[in-house]
Amino acid sequence: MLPGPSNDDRTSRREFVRNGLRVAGLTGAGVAVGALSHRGAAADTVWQIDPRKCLSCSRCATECVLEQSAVKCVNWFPICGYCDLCTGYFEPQPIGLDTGAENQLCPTSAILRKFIEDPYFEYKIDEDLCIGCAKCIEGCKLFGNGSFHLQVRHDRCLNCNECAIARSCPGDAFYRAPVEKPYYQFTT
Amino acid sequence: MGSIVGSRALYVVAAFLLLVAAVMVTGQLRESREEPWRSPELAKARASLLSDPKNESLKGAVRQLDQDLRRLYFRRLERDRMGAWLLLGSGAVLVMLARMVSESGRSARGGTGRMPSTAAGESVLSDPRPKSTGSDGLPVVWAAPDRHMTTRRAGLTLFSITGVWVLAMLGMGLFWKVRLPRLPETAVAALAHPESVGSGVVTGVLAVSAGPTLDEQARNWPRFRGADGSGRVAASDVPLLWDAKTGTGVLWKAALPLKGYSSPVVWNDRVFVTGGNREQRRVFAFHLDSGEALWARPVTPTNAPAPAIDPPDQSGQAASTPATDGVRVYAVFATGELGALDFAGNLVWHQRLDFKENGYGHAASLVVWNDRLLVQADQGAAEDGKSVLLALDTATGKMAWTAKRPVGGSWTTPLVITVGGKAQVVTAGDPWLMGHDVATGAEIWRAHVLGGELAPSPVFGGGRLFATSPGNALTALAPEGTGDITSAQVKWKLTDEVPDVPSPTVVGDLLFTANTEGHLICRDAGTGEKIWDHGFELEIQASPLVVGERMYLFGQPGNVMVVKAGRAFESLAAFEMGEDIYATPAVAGGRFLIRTDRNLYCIGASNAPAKGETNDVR
Amino acid sequence: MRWVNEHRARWRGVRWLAWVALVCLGSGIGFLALGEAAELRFPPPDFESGYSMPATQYPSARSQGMEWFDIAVLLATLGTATALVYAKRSRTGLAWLSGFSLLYFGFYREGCVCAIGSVQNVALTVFGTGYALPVGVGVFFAAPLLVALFAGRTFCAAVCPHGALQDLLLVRPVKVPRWLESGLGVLPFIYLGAGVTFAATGAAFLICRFDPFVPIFRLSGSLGMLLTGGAFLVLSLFVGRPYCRFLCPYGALLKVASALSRWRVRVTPDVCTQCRLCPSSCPFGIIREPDPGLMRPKEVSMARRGILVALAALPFLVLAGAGVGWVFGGAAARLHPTVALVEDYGDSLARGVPATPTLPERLALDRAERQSKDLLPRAEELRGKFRMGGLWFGVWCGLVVAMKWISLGMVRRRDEYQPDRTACFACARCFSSCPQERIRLGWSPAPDAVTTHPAIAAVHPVPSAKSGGCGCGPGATGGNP
Repeated sequence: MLPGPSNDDRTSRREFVRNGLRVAGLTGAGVAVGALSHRGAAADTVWQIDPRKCLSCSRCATECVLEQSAVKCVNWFPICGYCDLCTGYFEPQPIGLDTGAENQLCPTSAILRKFIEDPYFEYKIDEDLCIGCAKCIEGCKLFGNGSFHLQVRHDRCLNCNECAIARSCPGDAFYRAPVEKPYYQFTT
Repeated sequence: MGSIVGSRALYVVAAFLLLVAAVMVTGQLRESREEPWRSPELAKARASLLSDPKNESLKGAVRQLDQDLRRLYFRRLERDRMGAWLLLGSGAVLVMLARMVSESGRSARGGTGRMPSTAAGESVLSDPRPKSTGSDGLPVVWAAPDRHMTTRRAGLTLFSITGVWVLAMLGMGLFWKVRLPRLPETAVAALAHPESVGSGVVTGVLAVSAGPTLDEQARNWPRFRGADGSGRVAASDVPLLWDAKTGTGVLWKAALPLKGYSSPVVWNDRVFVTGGNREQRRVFAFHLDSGEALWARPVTPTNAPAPAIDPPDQSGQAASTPATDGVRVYAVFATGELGALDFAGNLVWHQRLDFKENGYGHAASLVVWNDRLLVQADQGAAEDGKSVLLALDTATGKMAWTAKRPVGGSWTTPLVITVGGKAQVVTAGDPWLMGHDVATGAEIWRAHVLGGELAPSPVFGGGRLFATSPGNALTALAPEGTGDITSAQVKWKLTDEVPDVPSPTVVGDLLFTANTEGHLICRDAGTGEKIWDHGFELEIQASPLVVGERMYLFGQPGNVMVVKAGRAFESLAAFEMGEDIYATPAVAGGRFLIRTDRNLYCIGASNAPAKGETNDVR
Repeated sequence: MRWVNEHRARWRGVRWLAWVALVCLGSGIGFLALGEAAELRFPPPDFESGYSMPATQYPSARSQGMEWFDIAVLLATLGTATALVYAKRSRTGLAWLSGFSLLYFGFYREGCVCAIGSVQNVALTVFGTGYALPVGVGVFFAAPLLVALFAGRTFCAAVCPHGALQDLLLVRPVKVPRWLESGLGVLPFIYLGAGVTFAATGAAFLICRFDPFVPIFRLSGSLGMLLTGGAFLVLSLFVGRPYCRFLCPYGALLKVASALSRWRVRVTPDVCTQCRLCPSSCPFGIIREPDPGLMRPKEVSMARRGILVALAALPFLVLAGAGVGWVFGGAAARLHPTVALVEDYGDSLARGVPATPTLPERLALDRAERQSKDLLPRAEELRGKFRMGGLWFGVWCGLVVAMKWISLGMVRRRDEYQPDRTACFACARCFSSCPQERIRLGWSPAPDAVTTHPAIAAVHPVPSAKSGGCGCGPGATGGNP
C-alpha cells in the first residue's frame, strides 16, 4: 500500500544513507529509553502547597492561569479548634461574633459558620466561592491552630508543566507531590 | 448569490465577535474595581462602621454593599465564561463562513473547487485556467525560480535574523545588571556547613594576644555585667539615692529612639547602647560626661532589609549587650547582623550570622577576650546541630575558630574564667554547661546540669561556677578536669527556689539570687544553704549589681532597692525612678548608666564627676 | 495587594488576641514560639452533643488510567492519520481527524500533555536532577518522532491540536516568499535550543509559558497571552500554520526525523505529469518544482564555493555563538526564580526593601534573607550552570546557522513535483489537485497512456501526450536542455 522508495539509482544511494541514519536514530532512541528508564520509574506528579512554607501572600488568588484559582482554602477539621472567636473567620476587630458581612474576613463569604455546641462552631468552606486569597489562613495561622490551609485542588488544577503560582511563590511553598499523595498531610 | 448571503453573514458574525471581544476586554480592565476585596467604598464603609459600631443603618449599608459587590464579582466570572464560549463559537462560525465564501468566490471565478464533490471532475483536465493563477487564486511560480536570487535572499534573511539574535543576546548579557550579592564570608560559610568545621578545630592563626589589659577592663564596663561578668565592682562612690523626677543625682538623661533590652557598655568617656526594631537596628554612642549623642549607626554597610526573624516584643531585636575592647564596639542583633564599629562610628567589619532557628531571638551578649570576639550562637534543638560557639578576630571579623555545640537554643552570655592559669570560656546551654579553651575552641569539659529555656548566665566565684536552670536546678560546680565532669565536680545542687531570669551574683562566700517575682535569696556559696530571703513583691528582670557592700536591685516598674550584700538582710534604700527597667545597668567611673524603656540615665554624684580618661579615637 | 496589608496592619493592633495566645508564658523572655501543628493553641474539643466531624474533602487528581487512555488516543490518532495520508489519501478524513484532535487534545485536555512541551520535560530529565520523566510525557515525545522516522510528519497533519487549530482556520492562504520562509526556518531550531537550555537548567518551561494556543484551549490565561493567541489565530486565517512553520520547536525535531523518513508523502503515487497544478494547492508553499540540479559548471563551482565558505565559517560561527551565549547566560539566569530572588535580594541590600512587610515581594526578600546561606551559593551555582547552558545554546545556534547556510548551497535534482519532505505537514491538500490522483480515484476519465506506461516517465519526463492533454503551457521546466 505504501509507496516504496524510488528505484532511481541516484536516489538509492541517498536512500542508503537515510536508512543508515534512521537505524542510528532508532538505536539512539532505544539507548535513550534504556538510560532514562534506568534513572528510575517516574511516578506522575501533581502540584501541591506545603502549608508550613506558605506565607499567605495572596498570590495564589491572582497568579493561577485559571480565572478562578485552582488553589482553595481547606479546613482540616482534626486540628480545628472550633473556636467561637475564629481568627480565620472574623475581622481583627469584629463588632459582634455573628455572621454579619461586616464581621467576616472572607471577601467572598466562602466560610460557613455553624453552631455545634457551646462554645464550639464548625467552619466549612464553600469552594465554589473561595478564591484562595489566604486572608483566613493568615488569621488562623497567627492566632489559631492553623487548620485552615491552602491546597491545590486537583479537580480544578490543570497540572501545568510549569505552575504559574509556583513560579511567583515568595515562600517557595509549591512542590511536586506524587500522584498517589496529591495533598499535604498533617502529622499529629 | 450564496456568496453574497455568505459574506453578509460573515460581516454580521465578525461584528458580533468583535463586540464580544470588546465587552470582555473592557470587563478585564474594569475587573479591579469590581472585586469585592478591592473596593475602596466597602473599605471606607467598614472603617466608619468600626468607629461607630452601634450604627445599625451603617451596618445594613455595609452588608448591602458587600452583597452587591460579591454578586457583581460572580456575575463577572459567569460573564467571562459565557463570553469565552461565545467568542469560540462565533469564531468557529466565522471561519466556516469565510471558507464558504472563499470557496464559492473561487467557483464563481471559474476555478475548480478543491473538494471533488463540489467540482465537476471532467473539467479538471480541460480547464483553460489563466496561467498565472492556481486553483486557489494564488500566484504560481511557473518557471523554475531564480535559484540564486532565492538563495541570496534566504541567506540575507538568515543573517539578519542571526544578527538581531546575536545583538539581542549580547545586549542582554552585557547590559543586564547582574546583581548577585557577594557570597557570605567565612562565618556564614562555617554556619552553613558546621560539619566541615570540626569541633574545636583551630581554623585561624592564633595571634599573639592583643587586647585591653585586665586593669583597663576592670576600670570600664566592657560587656554585660561588667568586665568579668560578675555584676560586681569594688567600692565606688556611686550614690545611694537619686531622684529621676527632680533630677537629683541625674547627671544627664538621653532619649533612646529604638527599643532594646540590652545593657549599656562603657569605655572611658564613651557609652554604647543598642536598639532596634524590624526596620532598623543601631548602635548609639554617647559621651559619658555630657550625655551628648555622638552617633547612631547600623552594623551593616546599608540598613539591610529586616529579615523575617521577628522576635516577640518582649525580647526584641536588640537583646544582646554589645561589647567593647576600647578600640571598637561590637554589636549583634537578633537578625544575625554582627559588626564592629570604631569609636568614631565607622563600620570596620560586619558579618551576617544565621539565628533563624532562635525562637525568641538571639539574646546572648558578646564577650571580648584579648583579640577574640566570642559569639554564643545557640539555637534550635540539640539534635538539630545548629548551635555553635564562634570566635572571631576582633580586628577583621574573620573566623578564628568554631566549636559545634551539642545544645539547643539558649539566651545566656558566655563567661571567660581562668582555671589553673588557663583561660576557658564557659557557656550554658540546654543541657550542657561547657568549658572550651578560649584560644583554640577545644572543649575541655562538660556537665549535664542544665535544661529547658535558659536565661540566667553562669557566674564564677571562689573557684565555683554557679549555673542556673530556671525552675529546675541551681548547681555549683568546680570547673576542673576534662570530659563529662557531672558526677565528679558538682558540689551541690538545689531544685527549689531557682531564679528564672536575673543572673546570680557572688559576693565572697555568699550567693545572691533574685527572680522575676522579686524574691531575693542569700545563700552560702559553699553549701547552697539559704541564709536569708526577702520578698520585694515586684517584678525584677535586671540582674542585681553589687557595688562595694551595696547590692542594687532594679525592679521592672522602675523601683530601685538597695540592700546590704551581707549575711543578714538590711535594706539601705528603696525608691522609684518612674520608668520601666528591663536592662541590667552598667557601673563605671562612679556612675550608673541605667537604661529604662525610653531613656538612658547617667547617675552619679554631681559634685564629684570622676573624669573619664579621654579616649583617643583610633 | 493593599487590602492584604491593611488587614495585616490591623491584626498587629489586636493585642488582646495576642495575649490570649500568649497565656502560657513562663519566664521573662519566654514566649510562644510559632511551633508545628503538634502543639495546638486551642486543643480540639471533645464534643458532647454527638457531633461528628465532617471529613475534609480531597478531590483526587486525574487518574493514572486516564493517562494511559491519552496515550491510547495519541497512538490511535497517529495511526489513523498515517493511514489517512498513505492508504486512504483523504483530506476530508484528515480534516475530521483534526477536528477530533482539536477537541480532545485541545479543548478537552486543554493542551496539556503535549508533544511540543514534552521536549522540555525530556531535557529536564536528561540534564536536571531529581526529575523523572512521566511515562505519558515520554510517549508523547517519542511516538510522533518515531512515526516521522518512517512516515513523515503525520503527527502535524491531524494529531497535534496546535496544528489542527491553525489548519482548520486557514481560509485565504497568502504565499510566503520562498526566501523568507527559508530564512525564518532557523527560528524553530533556535527556539528549540532556548527551550531545552532553560528547561535543562530548571529555570523555566519557556515553550509552555509562551505557547499562544494553550490559553485559548483553556479559555483563560493572562491577557497578554490571550491577545498573542488571538493574533496567531487571525494570522492563521491568512498564513498557513504560522506557529508550526516559524516557531514550533517540536516541528524542528520532526523536520530532522522526517528528513530520514522511510516513506514520503507524494502528491500522487502514480507518475507525475508535471502539470504544475499541485504547487498552488499547497497553502504552505512547500511543493518543489522539478529541478535539473546543477548543470552548468559555473553554477556548480559557485555552489561549491558557497558551501566551502560556509564550512570555513562554521567554526567561527560556533565559537562566536559560544562566546555570545556565555555572556548571555549570566543575564538569562534571572529567568530562574532562585537567581531572580537572590539578585533582588542583592539589590535590596543596597537599595532597601519595600517598607510594607507583607508585600509578596518583601516576603520573598525576607525568605532570601533567612535562607541566604543556602540560596546564595545555589544562585551562584545556577549562574554557572546558565553560563554553560548559554555557551551550549550559542554553539547550537552557530551550528544551526551554519547548517542552514550550507544547505542554501545544496541543490538536489528532482524529476517531479514533490513536497519538501522535511516541511510537509502531510495535510493531503495537494492530493486532489493532481490530475493523476483524480484519475486514479475515478473522478476524472482516464486518458490512455497516463497510467498504462509508467516507464515513459523515466525515459522522458514530459510525455507529449500529457503535455497537450494538460493544456497548461509549455513543458520546458523539467526537461533536459
